[in-house]
Amino acid sequence: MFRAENISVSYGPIRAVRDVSLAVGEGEIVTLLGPNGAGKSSLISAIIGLVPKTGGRITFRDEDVTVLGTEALVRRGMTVTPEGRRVFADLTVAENLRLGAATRSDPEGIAEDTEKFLEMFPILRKRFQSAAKYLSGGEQQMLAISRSLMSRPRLLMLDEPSLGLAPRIVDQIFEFLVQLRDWGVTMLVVEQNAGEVLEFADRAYVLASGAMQFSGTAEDLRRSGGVMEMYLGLEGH
Amino acid sequence: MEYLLQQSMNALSLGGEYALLALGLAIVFSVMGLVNFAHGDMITFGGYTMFLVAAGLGIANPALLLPVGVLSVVLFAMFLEKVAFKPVRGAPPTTGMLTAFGVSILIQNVALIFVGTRAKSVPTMDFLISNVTIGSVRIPIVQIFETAVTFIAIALLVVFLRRTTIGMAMRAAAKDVSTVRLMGVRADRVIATAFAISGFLAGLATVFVLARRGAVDPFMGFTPVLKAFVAAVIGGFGSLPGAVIGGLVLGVAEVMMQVVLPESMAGFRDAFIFTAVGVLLLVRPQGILGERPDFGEKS
Repeated sequence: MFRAENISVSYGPIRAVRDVSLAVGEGEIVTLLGPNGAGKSSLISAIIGLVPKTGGRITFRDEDVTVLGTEALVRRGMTVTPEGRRVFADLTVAENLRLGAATRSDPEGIAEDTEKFLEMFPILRKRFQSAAKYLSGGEQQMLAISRSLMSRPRLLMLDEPSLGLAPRIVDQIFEFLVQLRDWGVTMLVVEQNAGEVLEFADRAYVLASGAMQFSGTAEDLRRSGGVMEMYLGLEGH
Repeated sequence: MEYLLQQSMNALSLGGEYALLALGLAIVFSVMGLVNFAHGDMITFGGYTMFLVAAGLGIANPALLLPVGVLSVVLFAMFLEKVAFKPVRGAPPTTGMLTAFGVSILIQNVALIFVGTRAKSVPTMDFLISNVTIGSVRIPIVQIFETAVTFIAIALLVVFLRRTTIGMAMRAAAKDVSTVRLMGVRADRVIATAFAISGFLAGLATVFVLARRGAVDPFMGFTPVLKAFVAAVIGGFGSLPGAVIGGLVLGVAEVMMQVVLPESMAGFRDAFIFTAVGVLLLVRPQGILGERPDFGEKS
């Protein structure tokens, strides 16, 4: 359903991502793993059009979308929940969710979806009219993911959703992602910590120093102790 | 008592005008980090449009002339955005600022070459200059208009920014344009809307600047943009409520200086005010409502 081929990203003379390819099938949860500075965020930003690609090709739902800008990609059903959550701090929870639905023009559907996430995360209902900056980190992450989902994406890319969050909160976020799979949302989850995400991902990629080092099922990756140890600082098992 | 009332009205209306001007600067700055020094020349453009429509086409009815003037500034602001500022959007902030200076010089010289150096009067403003007498207080109509229009314009702007999706996107874009784009909102549209609003506010200001001066000249935009800049700095650059407060503070301060200063020192009014602004910035470098720049965190 989604395929990125030979993507390269350069910042001046620095090649942050070199010739990287990855694919996500309909209904899959795929994880992109790699240490800090591997180029994961650069790759995601290039896919969604926020930083320019120096090469490569992207197809989404049988359409070549390589040259499309961010706004057009979002309208076609791709979106990113950015690293560090990036909720609109001065806007209320309500306004954050409303902006998430900026591409839609069905007020009933928007109200319905809003209700769905408020049901899911009661804290968002409690803070509905207060500025997002007053939420805790975990609450902001819940808001950021809900905001992304308000556009009813077909492919949701999450850039380090567990970053800086307490383990208990991370569990809660990941449980939510598993539930999303049941709703039929296809996901690409970027993570530094392989441990938990491999428990529910179907397939995994490992990126290090800007190049793809591994690609296979989550099961394969768990078994390949070498890759785990070398790039992810984990013992394989 | 009457004197106090008259002077308060004076301060409120002048502050209102400055607030309109500063808001126009601030709204563009907030979404794209551009200090639009051509803001004053948009007023010049509006003034000349009204002069040409009045003198050339003979349309002197203010009910027609004023909306035409305001609308012309809105369109002109959007036009400037497309031809002058859009091409330099990705460039460093200095490039944008220099572009604005370039646009400003261009407009001034077009007015000089095609219309001339001499001030041209715009006669239709007469009705604004007359006075109303309430009890024993005489208040120029323009002041009542100015105060009312300023407050209505600010109220409309607040509703727009709070209730519409594009308004919310503009508030969000002030801090984080790329995440706004991730919502599928076109950055182009946000910026074009900011310029349209800025033009609308400048258009309203044009009417009042003209009413006070009664005439247009090629450099009539200089004082307004200077005041707008000072007001925006006082309030905190980029903050919209700050722009309003800065405008009002500046208006009140100017009128107070006029009242307090002895006649022999009246010429030093601006010097006193700029000194006060300097002291304010020493105490609060970010202005009254501005946020301290945060150098600590990676964003």
